[in-house]
Parts: sequence; structure tokens; C-alpha cells
Amino acid sequence: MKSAMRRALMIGFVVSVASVAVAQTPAKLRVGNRTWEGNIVGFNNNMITFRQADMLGQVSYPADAIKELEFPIGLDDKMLEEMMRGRQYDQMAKTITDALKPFEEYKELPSNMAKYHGALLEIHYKTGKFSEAIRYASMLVSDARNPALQRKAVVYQALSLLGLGELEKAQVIFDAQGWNADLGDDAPAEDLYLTAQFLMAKKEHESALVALAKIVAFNSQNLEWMRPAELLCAEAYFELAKAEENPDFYDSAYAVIGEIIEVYKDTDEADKAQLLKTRVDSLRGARPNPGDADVFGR
Amino acid sequence: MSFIQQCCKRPLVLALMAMSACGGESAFAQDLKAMSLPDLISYAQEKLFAGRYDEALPALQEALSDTERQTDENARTASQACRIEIARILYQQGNIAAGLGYVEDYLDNTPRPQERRALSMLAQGFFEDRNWEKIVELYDRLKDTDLDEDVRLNMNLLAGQAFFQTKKYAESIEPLRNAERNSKDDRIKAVCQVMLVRSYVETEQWNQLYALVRSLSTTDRRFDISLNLTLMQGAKKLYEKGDYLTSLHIYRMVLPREEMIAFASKRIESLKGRIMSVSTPVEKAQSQGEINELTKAIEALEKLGPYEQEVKFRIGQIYFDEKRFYESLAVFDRLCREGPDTEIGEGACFQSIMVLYGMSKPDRAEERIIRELDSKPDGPYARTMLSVMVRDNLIRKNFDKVIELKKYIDGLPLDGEDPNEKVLQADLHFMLAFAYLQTNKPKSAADQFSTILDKYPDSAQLFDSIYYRGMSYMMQAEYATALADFKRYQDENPSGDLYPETFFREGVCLYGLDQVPEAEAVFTKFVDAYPTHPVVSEAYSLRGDMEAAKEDIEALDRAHADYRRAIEAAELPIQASYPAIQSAKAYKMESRWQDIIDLMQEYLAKWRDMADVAEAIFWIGQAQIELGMLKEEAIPAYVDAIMEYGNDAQREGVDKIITELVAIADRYLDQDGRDDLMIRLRVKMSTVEDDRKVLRLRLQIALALLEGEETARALASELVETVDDLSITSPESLSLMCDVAVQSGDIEQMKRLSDFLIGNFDESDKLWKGYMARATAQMEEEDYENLLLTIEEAQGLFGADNFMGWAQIMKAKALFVQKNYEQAENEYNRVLNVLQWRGPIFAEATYGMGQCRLATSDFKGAHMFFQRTYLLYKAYDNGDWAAKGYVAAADCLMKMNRKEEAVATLREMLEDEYTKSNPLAEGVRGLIEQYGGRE
Repeated sequence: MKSAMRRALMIGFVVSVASVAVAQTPAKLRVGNRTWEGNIVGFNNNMITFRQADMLGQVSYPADAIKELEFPIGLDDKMLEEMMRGRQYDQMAKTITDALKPFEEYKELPSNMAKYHGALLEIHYKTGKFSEAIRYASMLVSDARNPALQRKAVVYQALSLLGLGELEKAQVIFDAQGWNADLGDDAPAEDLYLTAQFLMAKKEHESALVALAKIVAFNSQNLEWMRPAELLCAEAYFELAKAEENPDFYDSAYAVIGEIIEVYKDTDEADKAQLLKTRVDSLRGARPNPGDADVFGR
Repeated sequence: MSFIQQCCKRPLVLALMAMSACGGESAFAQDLKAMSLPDLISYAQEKLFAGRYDEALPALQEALSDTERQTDENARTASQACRIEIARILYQQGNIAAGLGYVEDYLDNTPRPQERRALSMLAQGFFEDRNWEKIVELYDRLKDTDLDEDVRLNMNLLAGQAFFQTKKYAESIEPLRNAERNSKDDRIKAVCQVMLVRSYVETEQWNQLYALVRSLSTTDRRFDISLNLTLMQGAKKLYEKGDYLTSLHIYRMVLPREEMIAFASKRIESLKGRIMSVSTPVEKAQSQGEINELTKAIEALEKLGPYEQEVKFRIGQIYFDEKRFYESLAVFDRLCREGPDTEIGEGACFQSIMVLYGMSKPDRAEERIIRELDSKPDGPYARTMLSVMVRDNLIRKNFDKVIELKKYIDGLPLDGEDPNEKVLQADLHFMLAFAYLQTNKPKSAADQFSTILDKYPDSAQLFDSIYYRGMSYMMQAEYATALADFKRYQDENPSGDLYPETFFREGVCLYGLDQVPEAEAVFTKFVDAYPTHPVVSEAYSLRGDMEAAKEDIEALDRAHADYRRAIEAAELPIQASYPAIQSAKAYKMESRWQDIIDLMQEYLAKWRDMADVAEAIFWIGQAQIELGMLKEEAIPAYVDAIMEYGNDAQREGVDKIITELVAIADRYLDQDGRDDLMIRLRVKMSTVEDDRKVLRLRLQIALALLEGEETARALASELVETVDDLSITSPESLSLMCDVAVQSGDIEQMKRLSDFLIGNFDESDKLWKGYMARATAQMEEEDYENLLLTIEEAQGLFGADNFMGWAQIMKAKALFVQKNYEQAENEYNRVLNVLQWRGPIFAEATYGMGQCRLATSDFKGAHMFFQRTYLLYKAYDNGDWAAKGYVAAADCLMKMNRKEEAVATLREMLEDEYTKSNPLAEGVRGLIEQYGGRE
């Protein structure tokens, strides 16, 4: 790290006064511990050429020396949150993409675009565009500036791979993260959820239910993971009912679906639960009343 | 604590400033009486500014006393101002009652420029005085009037609390909701929300409760201790009402105490910081008050029982009720792990087992039950768990598994007089008894029923136990004891469900006791009283049997009539086949061959596929043989029946036809006829497709039996070696294979073959061969406990049929090896009571009795039995038993020092025609010399 900084500073002294007619991109640039405000005037051969505001000269930096670029993106975060809550995914994706367009060229560099890439990652996953989601995830997984965002990227990367049916690639991530069926009751909800997703993809429905049950039973106030966990739980019960031909598990699926529809109104999960209910209805059919057999023949 | 807006110093001073403006300069004199009104006012104002209310109060009181009797406008205005300020000071000092008087005076007089404030103070006074009715009265008077926002908020708050305190929860909701909505003070909001939650719970307004609870779920309010306690109460009520889903959501909101305590502690620290930083005593007091309350709440919470576990337990139950098995299991497993020895932990362990049963995972449930029973045989749920496991296995017809649990049933401690535990224990014995009955172990069943009758006379199973013990005795042919039980049932439970059955069984017992006229009378009474009873067919059949046994023509006609009634009344195929066959037997006695053919054809027509076709064809064939239609009708019919039904291993009548065919060949056919039959079978066999393996094997067996015993045995030996898939075998081939396995001492094959025969052909006549093989294997392996159970089962099925002597001998031998000599001798002795077993078995039993006496050093007694052996049974088994008897008798005499008699006994053996050339004779000569005799 130190050597990279030293190199960056040395190169920073290579001042060029040659004026090049390129489009200028306003940005704040952070190198080492210093931040400069100005314009990016060139980006090629992995070198950023930056002109500080009100200065004539410009400085070139190797891209990997830049700690962060801050672009004037001008997105209203509160509005985006509202869009996410209102499930206006397409509009939200367009809004973000349009806003990031002027800075598209620098998307691989560490910048304040990362959190919007995180949002796009989530949107693409939610709308089933797994390849797109993976593209954004790969931009973020190596960005250590924001560990929470980095983890989110890994999580959605794994989920998207599962969505694409790429079990072997997903397995690599799962092994590396320690997401497996041996997770204990106190494991983080997201780890349990991912494990369950993976197990579902492998058609190990019962093991998936064991992991999901730990989320539902011990993380019920964690709504972020509770909602998808309950939906997956309903699906797992449904699959288990089919696999084991145990009609009681249809009832289980119904119970979870009922709860999702009632408690998580106007959410993706509620919509999906409604669809699942139709599938359960079609397979479940009429149920006989089991009653207790009188083993004594009386 | 009162959650009302407190009076503060500022308005108090401001009011007096207004007064002093009309009063003039300030005064410093201490003699208030001597002061003018303006001086008094100035003085009071000065003290109030300094925060010295105690000193301001007398000045105001003096000013009031100066002005209250005056009637001019200025004086009245001054009086009113004094009243309200005095009241405020008194409120500030905590002397609410005194202050209240001034407020009331203010409201009784004019002018009242601060009427709303006075009203608010009045309400506050009532509140402090806990005079809820007055507050409500005031609220009703003011709620629809135009009030200041502050005053209205205060009124709503006070009225809400007043209603709440007087448990008028429904009425409290509106003012509390208004106060909660309009207050800007988070503390007031919090208190209102907590009270609202309680009021919703009490008034069962679940939708509103749920909406409120959801709105709180993302706020810090969820950490409120009282709120959490109220939520628990509400969730419990909902659960009891069956609204599991809402209950679940509310339970889910209840936080663990650590989280609440951590939050409250943090809040206390923050309040302490605030006390240090704020200046006014009121704010300090407020913060301190909140600290005190939080401290109290924490203390209360710490003293509270383990509610988290209770909440979790309830959540687990709700998941279970909702059939969300895995979630339920996760909760119960954790509780069980966290406190395996606590009441809740133990309850959770039990619940987890119930969940596994709910999930149709009985194996996992049983594994846990056994683990619990092994580690905690006296655990609070031990008996219940066992009961669940036993019942489940009974329902699934795993009777052997139930029997395996006997050791746990017997091992459960039953201390005290807990009626529930007694009920469970009696149930366990009852279920175990049933498993014994279902597996043909009537003696063990009777023991269990007796336990219920002896130890649990209050059991709900008492009468059933009486009846079924009678049944158990009856199955063991202990008719007199059985009869006593059936009569007891009739006497003690005339309205019982099994009352009609007891009559039928009474008839069976009387018949068994050879009291035929009495039995007949009982059956007649039964069929008349219960003409549609499910066993009426059997009653007719048995009465028919009695008539048939009379051996006169009229009686035979009555027998046939009863058999026909039995066939008509039959509800099950077996109820029809028995009288049909019995009737055929009776016709056979009268040589009414055509009647047999007609009867069987009628029976076949009525019951079609459900009929015992092979048996019917067998009888038809027998009749045809007698009618001289052996070759034309009987043999072709038999062969056709074999071909038609022979590929179904369960059609045991086919095996019977094969046996009969072989017997016919032996009896009626000459060599040519026999060859023709074999050719016919071989031709048929050549047409059998490869996949009809059962039929092919049956034909092979039939041919081998026609060839002779040696061929049959050779085939059976080959089958034992080559047939891995026993599904192609039938009882005939299996019985031959069992014999081979026993003769060759192949224990593994004995087990394999007997398990298959017993497990798949429990109605077969050849089943006893399976039991014999199983028992032999157990004897070889010295597994005496199971051997005795096997024998009990076999005897339960076949009783003392003439081929069952081996079982009684083996039983006695097992007891002998277990050193239970007295019982062993009794069992040997029973052999001698069954005349149809007469033969070598008698010799073996007598010799065995001698061995029992010898083992207890009763040499005289032993000598007697050995002597009987060689005197009475010398001809059996080439004199083997007699030879053994001689040698053993001589040995006894030697032990009694009767050497000469011993030598004489041995000499007698050497002279005896049956024993002199026996292999033992050689050794006997040496013995004589050893004993001092000379040969």
C-alpha cells in the first residue's frame, strides 16, 4: 500500500502543461491522504489525467494509485429509497444508469458510484437479470472500501450464480464463505439464507428447511432476511410435500404463504407467495380426513 | 409518576409581573400584615424570581386575604391572580390537595382569564389525588369545547390514564390515542403506546393491536419493558383464542431481557449525563424520575421468571400448530439444548418429539425417545413419550417393536398417586397386551391385562381388559378361566360395548369345556338377540359344528341349516369359507358328494375372487373322485387350479391342492396313472412363461413330491442354496426348505426362511414349520428369552395340534438350560397330557423330567422317571430313549450308594432286546466294571 502511494506521489509530480482537447469530467480525486477538486481530462493506458480547479497544469496518476473518485452524480438517495420501497425497479435502474452515464468510463475505478452499483446489483437480482447482477457484483467484490457493500456483492453474486444454475461456480463461493449446512442457530441470517438457497438448488429441500427454520425462529426481527427466508421456506415445504408425498407439508406451505401475504403486503415476496399458492392449489387437490385409526378395532 | 405537563416557574412569575405593574414599588419589609397590596405583590414577585416560593406564598396569601372581600373589579382581578398563583406554588411544592382548593375557588369566582389553565390544573389535581371519577367528569365536560392544544393534550392524557386506571379500557383508547398522536414528548408517546397496547389486549381489538405493534417494531419503543410484558400477555390471549398467526407476530416482537436491560441501562447513563448538564431543578427531577422508573423496571425484569423461554416455547407451539414443523423443531431443539434439566427444556424435548411425529419422521422421534428414556427414566415426560411411541407403533402395526419396549414400560417408576400417570401406565400395559395378542402371545397378553386389573382398578380400560384377558385365556384353551372373565364382564358392565361379544365367547368357552348343550343354548340366545352382529356367522358355524358332531341324520340337517345361515350372514370371506368347508366335511360323512359339489359351486359363485378358490376346488375334486370322476374331472380340475392360481404365492389353497394331488396319486393311481399325471404336469410346466416363477416353482415341487420324499428334499436343499429372492416361494416350498435348514443346522438359513414364511404367510397351515426353524435357530444361539416368545406365539396359533409336540419339548429344554427346573419339569409333564403326541416325544419328556430331578439332586425322583423311560417307551427311536434311561437310572442309584442295583440296572439294559445293541451298550459294559460288577 505504501509503495503504491509513494509511486503515485512521484508520478504526481510529472507535471505536463501540454493542453489536450478532451471532454472534462468534474470530480474530486483522492490520492494518498490528499483530495483534489477539479476535472478529469484524460483516461487512457490506465492513467488518469487530472486538472485541479483553477490550475493550468495537469497531473497524471496510474489508476491503481487512486483511492477514490467522487463524481457529482446528483442522485436523490431518499427518492431512490422510495423507489425501492415502491418496487419501481425499472425506473430506478434507468434513473441510476442515466445518472451514472457521464462517469461510465470510470466505473472500474474506486468511486462514489459504488453504492449505486450496489443498488443496480440488487435490482437486477430482484428482477431476475442474474448475468447483469453478476457483472455489477464483480465490480464490487474486490472493493474493500466499504466492507458491508463488498459482502453484499458476494452475497448477490452467489445468489445470482444459483439463479443461473451455475452450481459449481457458486460452490466455490459457498466454500470460501463457510456457508454450509453445519451453520449453527446463531449464524447470521444471510449466511443461513444463502446456505438454504444453495441447498434448494441442489434439491436438498429438507436441509434447506433446517437452515431456513433457524432464520425464522431466531431472527424474526431481521426483516431484511426474514421476508425472503419465509418465501423460500414456503417453496421448500412445497417441494418437500411433492418429494415425500406428505400432504401435511402442503399445509405447512399454505401456512407460510398465508403469513407472507398478510404480513408482507405489497412486497415482491407477497406477490411471489401468491403465485406459489396457485401452484400449491393445483397440486394439492382434495385432502382426505386422516382421522385416528382405532388400532383396537373398536 | 404522573405524566402530565408540570407547572413551571416562568408563567408563575409572569403572572405576578402583570399584577405588580399595577401595584407600584417593591417592598422589603418582613411584616406582611403591615404591607400594602402593591408591596405584597412586589415582594412576592421578587421571591418568585429568586425561586424562593416558600417566601412568596405568605405574601400572596396575605394579598388574597386583603382583596377577596372587596367587590371592585381591580380587587377581584387581583384576588383571582393570587388564587391561581398560590395554587401553582402549592402544586409545585407537592401540596396538591391545598392547591386544588384554590383552583376550585378560582373557578367559582370571576373574572377567569386563565380558566383553561385552571381547569387543566384541576384535572392535574384530581390526578394527583387519584380521583379518577372527577377527571372523567371533567373530561366529559370539556372534550367537545374549544381548548388550547396543550390543555386538550393534557386532558386527553389525564382522562386516558383515568380510564385506564379504573380498568375502563375501551373508554381509555380514544383519549390515549389522541394524546399519543398529538404529544411531541417521546416519553408521553411511549407511555400512551404502552397503555394503548394493554387496552387493545384487554378489549381484544387485535387488528388495532397488531397495527400498533407493527408500527413500533422499527422504533426504540420496542425496548420498553412494560410494553414487552403487555405484548406477552396479549399474545397469550390470542393463542388461547386460536388466533395463532397474530399471536405469533406479537410473540415475535417480545425481546429477550438482556436487550431490554441493555437499552434501559444505556438510557440511564444518558439521563445521568443530562442531569449533570441541565440547570433547572425540574429537568433534573424529571430525569431522575425517569432513572428511578427505569431502575425499578430493570429490577422487576431481573426478578421475572424465564419468560424468554416461555415465549420461545409458545412460538414453537404456534409453529407446530401451523404445521411449520422445521421452525417448531428449531425452537424446541434449542430450548431443549439450553436447559435440558429445566421444566421448559424438558417440555421442549418432549415437544420436539411430537413435532417429529407430526412430520412423519417416527424413526427420528423414536431415537430421541429411547435416548431420553435411557438417560432419564424418571423424567417428567418419560411415560408420556413412551405412550406416544407405543401408540404410534400399534397404529403402524409394528407389534414386535411395541413388545421390545416392555423393558421400558416395566422400568418406569410409579411413585405417589398421580392419577394422570396411573392412567398412562394402565394405557401402556393395555397397548402392550394388545401387541402380544396381535402377535399370538396370549399368555403374555393375559399377564398385562391382569396387571391392569390388579393394579389399576380405576382404569378406563378395566372392562376391556376383562374381556381381552378372557380372549387371551381362550386363545390358550384355558376355557374355564376365560369363561370367568366373560361372565364377570356381563355382570359388571351390562351396557358395555363388548357385552354381546361376551355371549358369543361364553358359548365358545363352554364348547371348549365340552359343555355342549350349554354352549348350544348360549349360541342360540346370541343369534336370537343379536341377529346382525358381526360374529353371528361364527355363532351359526359353531352351532352347526355341535350339531354335526351328534352324528345323527336330523342333527346333520340342522348342522347344514346352520352352516347355510353362517354363509348367508358372513361379512368376511373367511366367515363364509369356514361353514362351507365344515358343511362339506359333514356331507362327506354322509357321502353326499354331489351336495359338496353344489355347495362349493354356490360358495364360489357368491364370493367369486374373494372366495378360497383353491380350497373349494379341492373339495369339489374330492367329491368328484368319490363319484368316479378322478381322471376325467378331479385331476384335471386340480391341475387347472394350480395353473390358474399357482403364480400367486398368497393363494395357499394351491399348496393344499398340490399336497392332495400327491396324496391322490399315492392312494388311487397306479404307476401308469402316476406317470400320466407327471407328464401332464411337465407339459403344463413347459408352457409356463419365465416370469411366472412362483407357478414354475410350485410345479417343480409337485413333481418332486410325486417322485418321492428324497427328490423333494434334494430339491429343497438346492432351493436353499440357490434361491435368493424368496418372493417366488410359497408355504409348501418354504416349509420343505425350513426342514432342510433345520436338519443341516444352518442357523442363518433357518432365520432367513422362517422370517419370510412367518412374515408373509401368517394364515398358512405350514406356518408352524417356520416357527420350528426360528425356534431351533434361537435354541442354537442360546437366545432363550426370544425362544420362549416364539414358542408362545406358535402355540398360540396351533395349540396342541399333533405336529406341535416339538414346541412343548423345546420350551421345557429352554427352561431347563435356564436352570428353572421346576417349571421345566411342569412343561415336560404337559407333554404327557396330550395324547396325540404319544410316541418318542413322551419318552423324551419323561427322560427330561428325570433330568430336572437330577439337577436338583432329587436322585430318587430322577431314578423313577428314568426307570419309566426305559420301561414304558423302550420301543421308540430304536431304543435310544430306553438306553439313555437305563444309564441315567444306574447313575442315580450310584449317587444314592445303591451300587448293586445300579449294576443290575445296567445288566438289564444289556439283556433288553431294544437296548442291547444300542451304541450306548458298549460304554455300559465298562461302567459295570467300574461299579465293581463283572461282565
